[in-house]
Amino acid sequence: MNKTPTFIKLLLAVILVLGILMVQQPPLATAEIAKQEVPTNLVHIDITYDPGTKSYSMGGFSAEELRQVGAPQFPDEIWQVLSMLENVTLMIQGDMINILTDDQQLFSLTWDGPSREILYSLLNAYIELGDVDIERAEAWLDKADIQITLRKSKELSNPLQIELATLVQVKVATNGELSVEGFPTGMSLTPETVALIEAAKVENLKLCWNKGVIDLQVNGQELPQATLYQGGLSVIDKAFGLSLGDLTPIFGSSFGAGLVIGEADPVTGECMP
Amino acid sequence: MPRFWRVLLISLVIVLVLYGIYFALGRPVIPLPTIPYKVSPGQPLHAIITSDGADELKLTLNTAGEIEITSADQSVVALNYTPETFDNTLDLGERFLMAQKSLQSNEYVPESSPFLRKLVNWVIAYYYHIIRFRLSVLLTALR
Repeated sequence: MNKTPTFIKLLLAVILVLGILMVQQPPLATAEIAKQEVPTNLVHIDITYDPGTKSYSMGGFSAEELRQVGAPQFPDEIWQVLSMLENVTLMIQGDMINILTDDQQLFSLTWDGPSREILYSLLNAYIELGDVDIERAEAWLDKADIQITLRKSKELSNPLQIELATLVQVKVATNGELSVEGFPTGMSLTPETVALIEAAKVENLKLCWNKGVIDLQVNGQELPQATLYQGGLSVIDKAFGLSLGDLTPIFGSSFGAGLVIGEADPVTGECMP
Repeated sequence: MPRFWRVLLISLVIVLVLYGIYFALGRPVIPLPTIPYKVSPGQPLHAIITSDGADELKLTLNTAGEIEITSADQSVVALNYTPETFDNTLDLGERFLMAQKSLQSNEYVPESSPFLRKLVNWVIAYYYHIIRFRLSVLLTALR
């Protein structure tokens, strides 16, 4: 037997061995069984206040930062009440509302479907923003895990915690008016922007923010996933002089929005990973 | 067997063996040399590059599906794509460009060539699935 066929045989043998290796190679990605947790609309807001200086910090933002964004100042009557308390906590979890003052239970209310219906009818009667969409309200409240804590302290409050399973429904009307969950915001897009969006045949968007990771779908088509880094964002902040401030609360939060343009169907689904 | 066919066969087998080894290793990303690019003061990018004092910004394309911008070893933003999401982005970008042109000129703007779109998709898919490279451009601000 001459040299060449032996060489080819050897190469074929190598290919065969490599082929077997590839077949036996474990899959690169193994699907993990996701934890079957019930998604919630978690909102935890910590507020610290100092009656001496009549200032407060909320969700990790200092009094100065809050003043810059136009946060309201409380009248003296409220400061008098607050100065008498050490802490107040409001908790809405599932079907229960609890209020605690100075670590003592003050008030507890069962907050089930029928009791919420009474509230919706009261809101419809007294608030002139339009009728409450009961289906949407239930989508939010049924999974609610809301905790608002007021503490008498000079310390900076704990960072805001937001993890929303329910998509915030945003609608752009054909005249450009923006509404959130059926309530008008008073803001609107310019006619040029609306015309551009319509001409590009964009009907809906789904935007999910999960601690810096952005997932975007346009007309149900997924776009590349973007990851913003908090440290890196300071580069953009400095370059463009945006004065974004401390973004720790935002980078610790998860939420999403479904935006509908015109009369298209609402965006469905959730954003939780 | 004629010499030409023998050489061709051996070359093909060598390519297959090399690719087999590359595949068995998990198709690692092959790094290409970094391309330096100097940015003069006054250019729009200059302000961004100099904003954190590092005077450097690195744009890295990893054809396995990642585009990343780093500044002084700090990641600024990363985009993770697949051939499908890349195609969706091209589709959306094209629709917006066509919409803008048609609104400005009030004329019908034809879609881009389907062959060109397919070619772009094939190139993206080839470098995503078959051979993966990492290409970087280092932007340095001139004083």
